Amino acid sequence: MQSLNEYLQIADERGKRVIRCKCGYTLGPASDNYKAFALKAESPIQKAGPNVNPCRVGNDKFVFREFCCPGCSTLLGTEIALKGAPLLWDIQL
Amino acid sequence: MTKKTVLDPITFEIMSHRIAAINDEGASTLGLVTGSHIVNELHDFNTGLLNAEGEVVITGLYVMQHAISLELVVKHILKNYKDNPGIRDGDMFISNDPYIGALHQYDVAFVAPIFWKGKLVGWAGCACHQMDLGGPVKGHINLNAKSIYEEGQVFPPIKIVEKGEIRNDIEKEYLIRSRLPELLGLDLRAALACNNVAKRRVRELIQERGIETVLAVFEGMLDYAETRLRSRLKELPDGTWRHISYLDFDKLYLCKLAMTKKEDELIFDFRGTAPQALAVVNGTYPLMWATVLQVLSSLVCYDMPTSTGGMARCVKIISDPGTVIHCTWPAGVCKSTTTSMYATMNLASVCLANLLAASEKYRDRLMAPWKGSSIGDEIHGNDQRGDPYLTNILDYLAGGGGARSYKDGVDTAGFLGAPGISISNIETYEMKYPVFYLYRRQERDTGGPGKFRGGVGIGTMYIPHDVYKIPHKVIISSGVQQPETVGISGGYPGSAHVIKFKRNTNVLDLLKQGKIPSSLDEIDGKFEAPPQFVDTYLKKTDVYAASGQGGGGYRDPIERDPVLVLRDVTGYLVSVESAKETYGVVIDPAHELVDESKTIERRAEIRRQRQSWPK
Repeated sequence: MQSLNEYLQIADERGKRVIRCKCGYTLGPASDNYKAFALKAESPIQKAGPNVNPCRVGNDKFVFREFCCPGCSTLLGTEIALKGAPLLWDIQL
Repeated sequence: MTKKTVLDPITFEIMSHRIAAINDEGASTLGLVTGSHIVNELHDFNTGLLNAEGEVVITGLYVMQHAISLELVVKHILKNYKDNPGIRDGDMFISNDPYIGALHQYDVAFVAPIFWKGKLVGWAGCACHQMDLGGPVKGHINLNAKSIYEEGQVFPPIKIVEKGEIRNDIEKEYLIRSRLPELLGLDLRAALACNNVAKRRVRELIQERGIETVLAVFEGMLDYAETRLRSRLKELPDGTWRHISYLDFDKLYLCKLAMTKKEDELIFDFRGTAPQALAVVNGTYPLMWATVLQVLSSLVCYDMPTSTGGMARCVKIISDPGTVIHCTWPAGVCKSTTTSMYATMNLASVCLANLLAASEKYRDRLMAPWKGSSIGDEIHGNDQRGDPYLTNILDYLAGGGGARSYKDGVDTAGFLGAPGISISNIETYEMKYPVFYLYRRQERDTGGPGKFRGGVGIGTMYIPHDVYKIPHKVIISSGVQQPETVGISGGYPGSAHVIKFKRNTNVLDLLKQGKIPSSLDEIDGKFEAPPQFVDTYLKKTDVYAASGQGGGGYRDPIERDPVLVLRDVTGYLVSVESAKETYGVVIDPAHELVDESKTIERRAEIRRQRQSWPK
C-alpha cells in the first residue's frame, strides 16, 4: 500500500484504487483530491492563530480551510486560500 | 583521453573533508577581517569552492544560496570573459548582478580562479550582504521604484584584482557611490582575503597530494552528491505535489509550484506564477535556482555534503520568464531576498515535505516549512552626534523552524538552508544606531500548532534613543495578511507577520518610573497597523513592535501530548487560550497543571464540531 502521508493511504478496494484513512474510512477514488471527500470547514483567516492578521490588514481576503476524516475526525490537512479559490490538489500519487 | 584518477574511499573521505575545511577557513577569514556585524555577528554571507567548470563542489554552512549562486557567476565569466578581459592567475571578479548570479544587488559576489601550472583547476568564491551600494535611496528599499533603474546600481562581473594586485580604479569606482564607503571597503578587503586564503590552501593541498588527486576529489564530491541524491529519489514514491503561495506587495502575486518526482529526477514547474511586479519584490532565475537547491539540500540531502553542483544534475526547473519569481530585465529586485526568495522556498519546502510524508522510510526525516518570509526593516538618518547611520534591523531572520515528524521545530531557528545564520546582538544595534530595545524575545503563539509544534518566531519592540526622530523607517513585509508557512498533514500554519506602531506615547514617562513595558497594550498612545510596506518614521515618543513568523506544525494539534502543551504555556510559547482552542488542552494556570477531565471533554467537543462540518 502506498502512503500519501501519516494518515492517508492508497488501497485497493474491489479492484479500484481508493484513498483510505488510517481508521479504515474510504474517502474516495485515488484519482481525485482527497479533500473533495473530507469534511470541510472554512473560517476567517484569524482562526489559524492569534497572530494571524489580528489587525485585519487587507480586508480579510484570505480564509483558513480545514479538512477532516468523516470516519475518525482526524484533521487531515489545512490550507490557506483566497476566498472562493478552488481546493488545492496538493498530493497526487 | 586522460586516465581518470581513482581514489580509495579513505583518501576520498579525508580529502573531501579537507576541501570543506578549506572552504570554512575562507569563511572564518572573511568574518575576522570585516567590520560588519552583518557578516561577523549575523553571518549573512557564505563561501564556496567550485571546479574549473564552475560547479559548486562545497558550500559553507552560512546562507547556502550565497554559495550556490556563485556557480552561475562563474559560468557567466567562463562563457563571456575568456578572451576579453581574460581569466588569469591572480585575478578576482566582483559582481552584484542578480540577473547573472547575485541574489539581489546587495549580496555582492567575489570569485577567484585557481590556477596550477598555468591551468585553471577551480574557483574560490564568497558573497556577502552589503548595506549600501549607492542608488537613489539610502539602503536597499526604494518603494517608489518602477524598475531596476531606480534601485541600487547593478554591475556585471568586473575584474577587481588583476595578477594579484587590486585595481585602484575599480575599487574607487565600487566605493564611490556608497553612503557607507568605509564599511563597504572593509568588506571588500575581507572578501579578497577570504578568497586568497582559500586559493592558497587549495594550492597547498595540490602541492601536497598532487593535482590529479585534488581534481579527482572535486569530481568525486560532485559525483557522490549526485549519486546519493539519485539513489534517495529512487527510494521515494513517484508523484506530483503542488503548492501555492501569495506574495503580498502592491497587490497579491500568486506563486505556484507543481513538483513531479519521477524515478531519480525532480522537476520543479513554476508555471502559472503571476506576472512580475515593476520592482522591489521580484526574484531572478538565479535566485529561484539557488533557492530550490538550498531547500532540496536541506530537506532531502540533509545527510550529504553540500556539493550542490552534483545535486543540480538531478533537478530540472521549468518556469515562465516575466513572472514574479523569474523576472526579466528591467524588473527591480531590491528586496527579493525577503519576499520572492521566500515564496520559492515555501513552495519547494511544502512539496518536498509532502514527498517525504509519502515515504514510510523517510517520513521520520520530514520537516514542515520554516518561517515563510522576513520583515525588511531599514532605518536611516543622523544620530545624536550628527553622523549619518543606515542599517537593516535583521532580527526577523530568527524565524521558527518547521515542526519535525518526531519533534517540535526549533524556536527562533533562523531560516531554512542557513544553518550558520544568527542575529546581531541587541547591544550592537543600540551601540551603532539610535535605537533602544524594550524587548526582543521568542513570541508566544507564533509556532504552527500540531502534534509537533512549529518553532516560534521572534518579537521585538523598540523606540528611538537620544534623537528627536528616526526620519526614515522603511518596512516591507510579505505575509502580513496571511501566514506563508503552512502546516503539514493536518498541522496548522505558523503565524503571520504582525507590525504595529503606537504614536505620541507615554513610553518615556514609563521608563522614568522604572517600568519597562512588555506589550504595546501597556503603553498609552495612538495605535497604527501599517500595510505590508510603508516608508514612515519613528518619533521620540513613538513605539514600534513586530513579531515574525513561526514554523509550520505537523499532524493534528489535538494529538499533541497535553504535558507538552503545558510546558509551552509555562514557557510563554503558547497562550492558555490557544492551548484550549486549538490543542484542546485545558490548563489551570494558577497551579500550572493540565485539567485532565476538562481536556478530554474539550477534545471530544472539537471532534464533535468537526463531525458537523459539511462534505
